[in-house]
Order: sequence, then structure tokens, then C-alpha cells
Amino acid sequence: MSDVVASHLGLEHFFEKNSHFTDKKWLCDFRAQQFKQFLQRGFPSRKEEAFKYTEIKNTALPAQSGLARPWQHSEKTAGIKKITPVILTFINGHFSAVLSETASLSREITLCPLSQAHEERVKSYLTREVDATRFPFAKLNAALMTDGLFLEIPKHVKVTTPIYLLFINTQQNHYMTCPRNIIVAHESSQVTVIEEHVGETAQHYFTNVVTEIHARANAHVDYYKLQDEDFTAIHVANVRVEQQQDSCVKTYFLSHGAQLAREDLTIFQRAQGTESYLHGLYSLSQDQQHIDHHIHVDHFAAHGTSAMLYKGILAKKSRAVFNGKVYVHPTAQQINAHQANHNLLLSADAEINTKPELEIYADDVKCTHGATVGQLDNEALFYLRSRGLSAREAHNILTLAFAEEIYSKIDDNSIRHYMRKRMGSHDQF
Amino acid sequence: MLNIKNLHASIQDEKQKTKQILRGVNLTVKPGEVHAIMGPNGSGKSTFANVLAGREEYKTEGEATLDGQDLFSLEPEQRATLGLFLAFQYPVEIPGVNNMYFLKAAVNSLRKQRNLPLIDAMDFLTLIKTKMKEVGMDEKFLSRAVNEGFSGGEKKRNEVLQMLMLEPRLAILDETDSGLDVDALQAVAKGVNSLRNKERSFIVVTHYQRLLNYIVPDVVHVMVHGRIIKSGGKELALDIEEKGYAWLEKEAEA
Amino acid sequence: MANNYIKQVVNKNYQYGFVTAIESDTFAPGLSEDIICQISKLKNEPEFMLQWRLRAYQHWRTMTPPRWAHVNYPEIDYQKIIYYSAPKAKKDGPKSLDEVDPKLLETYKKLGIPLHEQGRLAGVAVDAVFDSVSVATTFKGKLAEAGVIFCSFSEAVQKHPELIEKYLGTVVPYRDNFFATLNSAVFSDGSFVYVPKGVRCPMELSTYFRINAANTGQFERTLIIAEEGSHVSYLEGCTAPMRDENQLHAAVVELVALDNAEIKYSTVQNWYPGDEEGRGGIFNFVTKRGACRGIHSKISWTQIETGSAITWKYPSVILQGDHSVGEFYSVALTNHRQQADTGTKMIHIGKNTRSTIISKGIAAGYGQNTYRGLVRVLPTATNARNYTQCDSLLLGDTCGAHTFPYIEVKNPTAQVEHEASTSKIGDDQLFYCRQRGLRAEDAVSIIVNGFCKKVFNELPMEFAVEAQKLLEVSLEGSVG
Repeated sequence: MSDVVASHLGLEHFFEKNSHFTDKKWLCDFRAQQFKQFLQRGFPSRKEEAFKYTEIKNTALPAQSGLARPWQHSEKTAGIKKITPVILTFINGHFSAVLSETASLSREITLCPLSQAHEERVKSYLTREVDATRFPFAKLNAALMTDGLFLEIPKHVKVTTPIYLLFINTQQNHYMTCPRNIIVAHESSQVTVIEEHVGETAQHYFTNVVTEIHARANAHVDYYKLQDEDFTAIHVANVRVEQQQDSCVKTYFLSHGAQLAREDLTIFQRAQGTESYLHGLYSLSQDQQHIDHHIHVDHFAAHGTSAMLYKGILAKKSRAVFNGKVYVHPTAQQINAHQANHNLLLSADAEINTKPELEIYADDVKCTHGATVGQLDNEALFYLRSRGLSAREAHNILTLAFAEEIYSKIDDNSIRHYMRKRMGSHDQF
Repeated sequence: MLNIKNLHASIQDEKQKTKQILRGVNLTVKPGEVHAIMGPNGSGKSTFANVLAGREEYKTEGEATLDGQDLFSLEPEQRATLGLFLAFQYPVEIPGVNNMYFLKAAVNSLRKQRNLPLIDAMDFLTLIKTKMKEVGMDEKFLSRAVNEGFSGGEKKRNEVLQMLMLEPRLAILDETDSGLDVDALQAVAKGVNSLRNKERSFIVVTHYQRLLNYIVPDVVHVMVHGRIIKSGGKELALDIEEKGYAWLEKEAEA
Repeated sequence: MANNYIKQVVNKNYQYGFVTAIESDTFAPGLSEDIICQISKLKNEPEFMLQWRLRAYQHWRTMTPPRWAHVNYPEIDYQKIIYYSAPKAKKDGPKSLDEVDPKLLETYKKLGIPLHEQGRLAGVAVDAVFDSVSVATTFKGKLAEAGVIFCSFSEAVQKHPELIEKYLGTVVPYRDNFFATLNSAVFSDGSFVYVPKGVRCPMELSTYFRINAANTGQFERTLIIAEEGSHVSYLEGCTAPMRDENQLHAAVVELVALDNAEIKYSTVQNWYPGDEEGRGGIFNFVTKRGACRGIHSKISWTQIETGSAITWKYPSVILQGDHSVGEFYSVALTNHRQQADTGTKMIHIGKNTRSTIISKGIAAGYGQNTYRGLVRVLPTATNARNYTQCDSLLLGDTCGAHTFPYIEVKNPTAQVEHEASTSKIGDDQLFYCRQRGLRAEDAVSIIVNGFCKKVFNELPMEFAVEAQKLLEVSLEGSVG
């Protein structure tokens, strides 16, 4: 009990030290209220269903924030230029103008760090209520949010180049950042956003990020999340998608970093004819590495489509949790909802807990779900080796083949190529 | 070509209460014309399209003739034989039925009813591959079941493909543009525009003005509360884009 | 939401509903040792056969009829059934088609059986069973050249008693289940096929059945033996006339495949389904089992079931031999008030065995369709593989489809895959097809055909067309 109190105290200091935009009263008041509510709720415990397999102890939270650091685009990020010239960079939570490049983007599109955005434009988004019971870390983020992306695409505008959002963690240990991203695509607009979190020489840090995507009527948004945090880091993310009539959102969650990662993805299909295609590929290669995907799709209106396809590759003593829930409200008739989670266990010690859930309250719907867990096919391995490939090469080829299904769902060739490269060969030898 | 007089349509809801949807629609479409029908959600636009195609759950009153023939005395497949085509807003999936096989059966069914010779398998294959290129559909969709597992955009393209294959006299597009990204929208518009000629007419039902930039209409109608309250040229669509529907509703009440 | 076109075609009369007026040699109803002795005597059976029947009868008397959930039927009074009925034909039986009772041949013509139209099913031998006695067998000559024995069971008991004694009851022991035991006691006739080593049977073998006299149970017994390296394809198809009383059909089929042998057994079943209220249909309780005794042996069951008031059958394959293969392809249609509880059992015993199950159930009207399958992998069955796909298609919303797959795996190297789906033909789909110019009946037809395609592809070609037609007829008036 006293641990809790102690670390709360630590957080309180954290809160005081890190209240940004202290000149905005509405924001300060809001943050204080959120922080209070978080403390009241407390840290999630194993007894809660949503955190049954993923425990994030109060002691895991560092009591200091990230500091600005000089840094240069490294090899890892050099590839970004090949897919887009538009990039917004944050180092340890702080916006880096030097490493960002937005000039090539058309003027009508609003793209800036949150700290530079017009107060009136972002106020309503930032002060939105967060469900502390379901999303405790999003609540904490509401209290402690530092900086992030503000992107607004006007009606009918199709943004042809992808927008890259890069969060780098470097040269500092034991710190926490709370990035906050807001993406608004107005009626009939189109945009692709890639959000990356990468660790470079930073250790034992805690990323607590909240991203919200608003797809207005008939808008199209493709969202990529590349998680490449240091193997000692904790990454907790909350992505919330609000969809209006006829909108189409595609998400791709590609993860292979962090010691402990928790991704909460929530989709709200508010009006008719919406489509949501959710993809995920997680590849764990370290002992004690743990990833947890919690996805929740809420179908409120008729003629909605949602499809979840998540694949996991687990090596050594790693562990993954998948919980995909589709909730169909009684008003949501003629829904097409599909869920699939397939896992490849490359060692006897790897573990997966998978639970696809369907809660259906309308009667004219088509819903399917499936989950599989398997090993590499011995016959296939033998076949490749009989053709001269080493055991390791054969292993890697088959593993890549397993992952390929996700990559094949990426329409853009250069992004697909880039993601394949970034995710690596899944080589566990 | 199409003459609609005082069309009323109603439906029974789950509680057996009658819900009036169309309240006296009047419309005349001449050969070669493209009419756009816009309107807020719930105005009856889709009902209008479905009633013309022959959906049985609506009770209708009033007249609708196509080339002088009374539409309401005809079954859906008979209206199809007359040359009426409806591109559905939410095309349904038909598992187990091969897309190509279905289309061939449809093409031949119409030919049979019009006493025309049935299409040869090779000719059909060549023809459909050409049309698929036009709408930007990958050939692999031929071997899949009708609309099964298709994304929204792919379903709409499939509708336009069918329209290109069946070559209707009157094509009614029910919100074919909803949910399409720019590329798909352009492909759909291209398909529709390729069919435009002096004999063929289109009724384009749409919620978003954007489509009308690509498929330029001759007349634009606005439907509110089951009635056409205003008709005008293509500028009317731009007015709505700017001002919304509220001003029109006020005008209608005045 | 009733469609008008459905109301037009509601009571499509069962087109085979007629009765042939021929004198029958009929026993009094009821079952006793005496009746059994009489049956055996009439057929001139050797002693071992009579003894076997009597043992079965004794055992049957100790058994109670089974009842299952999901299938409702009135209790059967076994003493009210007539256990033997044969048409009075010339003493020694006809030697060629010319000698067959012309009225009988006319019956077959009505049923579309090609005894007279040899050209229609060119190369297919037909063993037409009229009620309980085989009437004519064609193409015996050609088969005899190849060394294939294809004759009535009764004839086989006479001419090849050693084969019968060796194999009868080895796949379905007389104690196996209530109806199999009853059958073992009173079986009247059926087919016998024996294919010698290395012989590939030169033609499809086929049998038609017909139940004519009132209150007649039908108890066929069929035994097919495929010796090493042989191959045979056998088709069984049935029709029956309109009746008011329920008629019992309890057949037993045993298949034995030795090393490298293959038996393909196809059934197109068109029993009278009972009227719309479920009265007067056939009760179909059949035990069908194949034993893949040899290594690399294969047995496939393909069935199209569209009739009978109640169907209870689980064609099974025992995969004893290493590398043996069992397959089951089925389309079961229930309309009006039919009930079907059908499925298969695949028992994996040997090593590297494989089984495939594709089951398609179509339920319409108030039909209830249940798939009950068992995949059992015994501890000795290393590397067993199974793939099961059960799909249900619902036409309308008063019918039902249920799936009970039982998977018992006792060997860790087994790979068992199971997929199931349920879909329905709704108003939306029909309207879509009709808007594209297809008539409603054609729409239902292509949808159902697409659904059953995988199974139709397994039928011998000549009968695939017939099966499709059969489904069309059975589905008339079903969509609402």
C-alpha cells in the first residue's frame, strides 16, 4: 500500500513539474481534475479482466519526464525519406523543428505540433472525457500530455503523400512521455498517417501515448503504427477511432519492440455504411517480452463492415495476449464482422492467450471469428532443407511467409516494402 | 422515357404501423438525360430507387411508366428485361455463386427474354475482361463469389461492372459514390460516363455533391420528406454543398 | 414476407407417387422365428445363413429401440410390419430383360430406370430391386469377363457362400445397433459386389430400389468386397410411392477394401418425404460402414439425400490400414417437415491415415437438419489428418440447422481441422438476382448449386445431373 502512495507522490511531483501550457487555465484545471480521477481509480490490477494477463505495476512508472536531446536521423529512420518527405519528429516527447519537414504539404492542410496549434481548434478534443475504468493510462495521459501531432484535412482533400509521425527515445533512462495525437479527416478527405515509436540508446522508459482519429463522412484514413521501442521499455498506447457515415479506416499495427507493450484500439462506427479494416503483426524475439492487443469495435449503425486480422510470431520465452471484441448494438443490422487471430509459436516456452469475442444484439448480421495457434510445418521445413537451405534459412522463410499475409494487405508498394524491412526477418537464432 | 406521377410509397414497420415514405413524387426523364437526386438522410431517395426496381415490401400508389409500360404491373425481372438497372447502395453477398457465372446467367437470362441468341462463353470472357479493366477491377474477382468479402469500394465497382455488361436503358445508381476513395470514385464515374448516349438515361441518387463533379447531370432534384421540392441545373448541387438542405426545407415550407 | 411466386407452386405432387398393381407374395405382418425360417427357406439359403439370422433375431429381442434428440417420430410397432414381399414372377427368375414381367419394366420406365434404354446410361449395369427381390441384372456378361461378381445378395448366398461367410458381419457385426440387428435377422435382399485382385471394374455399378406394397419394411443388405489393387464405383438410388403409413427402411451396407483398393459408394436418395404436415413419409435408418483394411486403401461415401420423413444414417469409415483414406461428401436437404440427423464417423487406427468430410445441409420450410459427426483418432493412429467442413444453408426462417461435431484425439501428432458456416438465402439476395433479370427459381437454383458444388463434383458424372435436378424439384415452393 505504501508503495502505491510513494509512487503517487512521485507522480504528483511529475505532474507539477510537467504541466505544460501553464498559461492556459482551462487546460490546467482539466489536467488537475484528470490526475485526481486517475489517483482515485488507481493502477489496474490483475483482478480486472482487461488487465488479467498484462500487469503494469505502479512501480513501473518513472518519476521524471523526457528531456529534449539533440539527435540526427539515423539509419533506422533514413528509410522514411523514401516513402515521404513529410515528417514530424519528437525527441523524448519534445517537438524537434530541426528534424521535421512539412513544407511540401499543401497550405490548406493543418499539420503542426499540438503545442503550436490554435487553442480553439484543439480544445474540444483535448478536454474530451476519458473512461478511467477502462483506460486508466489514457486518463493519465489526459493529465500529463506533453506534445504530439495535430493534423486536420479539410473537406474533399486527398493528401497524396503519407504523413510520418516519429517519436524517438534517446540518451536518457527512466523517464516517461505522454504524447497526444489528434487526426481529423473532414468529409470525403483522404490521408495516410504513419506513427512510429523507436528507441535508440534510451532504456527503461515509459511511453504512454493516446492517438485519436476522427473520420468524418465519406473520409478515408489509413493509419500505420510501427512500434520499435527499446527492449527494456514499456509502451502503452490508446488509439481511438470515431467514424461517421460511409467512412473507411484501415489500421496496421506492426510491433516488435518494447519489453511490455499494451495496445488498446477502439473503433466507434457511429453511422451507416462505415468500414473498418484492422490489421496487426507482432513479432516477439526476446525472453520475457510481452505484448497485449485489446481491440474493441462498436457497431452502432447498420450496414457496417469490420474485419480484424492479427498475426503473431512468438519466439523464446515471449508472451502475447489478444482480445478482440466486436459489439453489435441492436440498431446495427446488416453488419459484416470478421475476426481472426493466428499465432506462430517458434519455441516451446512461448505463450499466447487469445480471446476473440462477439457480442451481438442485432439479428441480421454476418459475423465470424477464428483463432489458431501452431508451429512451423515440419514437412515444409524438411522440404526447404532438402533443397539445400540451412535450418535457419528454412525457418526464416516460413516465418516470413506467415507474416506476409499482413504485408500483402498494405496497398502502397513503398510502404509495404518499408514495413517489411523495419519489422526485420523475425530471425530468432 | 420514364414518367412518374404522384408516386406514394409506404411500408409496414415491425409494429405493423404504416410508415409513409414517398408522398407524391413527380418526375419525367427523357432519353439521354442524367438526373441527380440529392437529399438528406431519410428523405426517401433510396426508397424511390428501390420502388422503381420492384422491391416488394413497399405499397405503392400513383403511376410509373417506362417507355409507356406500367412498371408496377411488372415483376422485378420483367422490369430488368425492359432495361431497368439498379446499382444497389449496399450490394448483397451471395456466397457460393461464382461472380462470372452469375453475370453470364444474368446476361443470358435477359437475352432469352428478349429473344436474342445466348452469349458464347469465349465472347463473354473477352467482353467481361475488357469491362473489368474499365472499372479498374482485378480479374481475380471473377472467380470469387458475388460480393463475398468485397470491400465497399469493390462492391460498388462490381455494380458498375454489371451495369456495363447488361447495358440498360435506364440505370438508377443508388448512392454508388458513398464510401469510395478518390480512385474508386473516378473509376465508377468513368464507367458510367462511357455508357452515356442519346438513348440511355441515368438517375443518380447521391448524398455527396462530389460525384457530380465527375458525372455532370442535366437536371438536379432535391428530395425532402418523400417529395421533390426543387429542381434545377448542376449549380443547384453546388448551392447545397455550400448551404446544406436546411434553406431548401425552409423555402419549401414558405 | 411471402413472395407471390412461392404461393403458386406449393404442392408439387411427388411425381413418382403411383402404385403398380401386381400380385405380391406377401407374408402376414409381424416377426417371429418362424417368419425368419420361412424367409430363409423361400430363398433356399444354406444352414450357416439361417443360423446367423436366428442369432441376430435372438439378440434383437434383448434390445430396445434407440431415441435421439432433434429427431421426432412416433413409436414403431415392429409387429405391424410385413417383413417380406416379392412380386410373383416365373419360378427361376428372368434370364434376360425379355423375360421380366412387362408391368415391372413399365414401372421402371416410369421411374426412369434405364433397363430398356440401354443407351441412356451406357455401360451401367443395373440391379433393379423390386420390393424385396432382385428382378433383373444386366450386363452380367461383361462383368463376368472381368471377373467382377455383381449380383443380388440372395444369388451370392447361393453361388458364393464362402465369400459371404467370410465377410458378412465383419464390418457391421450383427450386434452393432438395433436396426442393424433387425436387418441381420430379416434382410431380404440387396447387392453383392466382388472385385478380384488388380481389377478395375469396367463400369459404374448401380441399383434402384422401390418400396411398393403397403406396410412393407425394406431391409436390404449390401456387401462390397474390393480385393488388393482393385477399384469399383457403386451407385445406389431410390424412389418410393405415396403412402399414408410410415414405411421403415433399415438397410446395412458393408464395404471391405484391401491393400491399394478403392471403393466409391454414391447414393442419390429420393424417398417420399411425407406431406407438408409430415405424414406418411419413409423412415430411413441405415447403417453403412466401410473398412479400409489394407494399406493405401480408400473408401469414399457420396450422398445426396432429399427424401424420407426421417433420416438417420452415418456412413462411416474405419481406417485400419496404414495410409488409408476415408472421404464423406454429403448434401442433405430437408423441406416441409422433414428431419435429418446425419453425418459420418471416421475412425483413425492405422498410421498416416487421412479423412475428409464435406457436409452441406440445406433446410427449408420447417425442415430440421442436423449434422452429427465423429472424428476419432486412436492412440495408435500416428500422423492422422482430418479436414471437416460443415456448411448449412437456410431457406427462410422457420427451418433449423444444427451441428454436433465430436472430435476425439488420442494421439498428439494428429492434425484435425474443422470449419463450419451457416448462411441463408434472404429476400435481399433474391431481389438482387431478380433485378439482374434472373427468375426467382433460377436464383434459388444457382445459389443452392453453388453451395453444393463441391459435393456434386464427387458424384459419377451421369448422376451429377440427376442430383441437381433432384434438388431443384425438392426445393420448389421452399423459399419464403
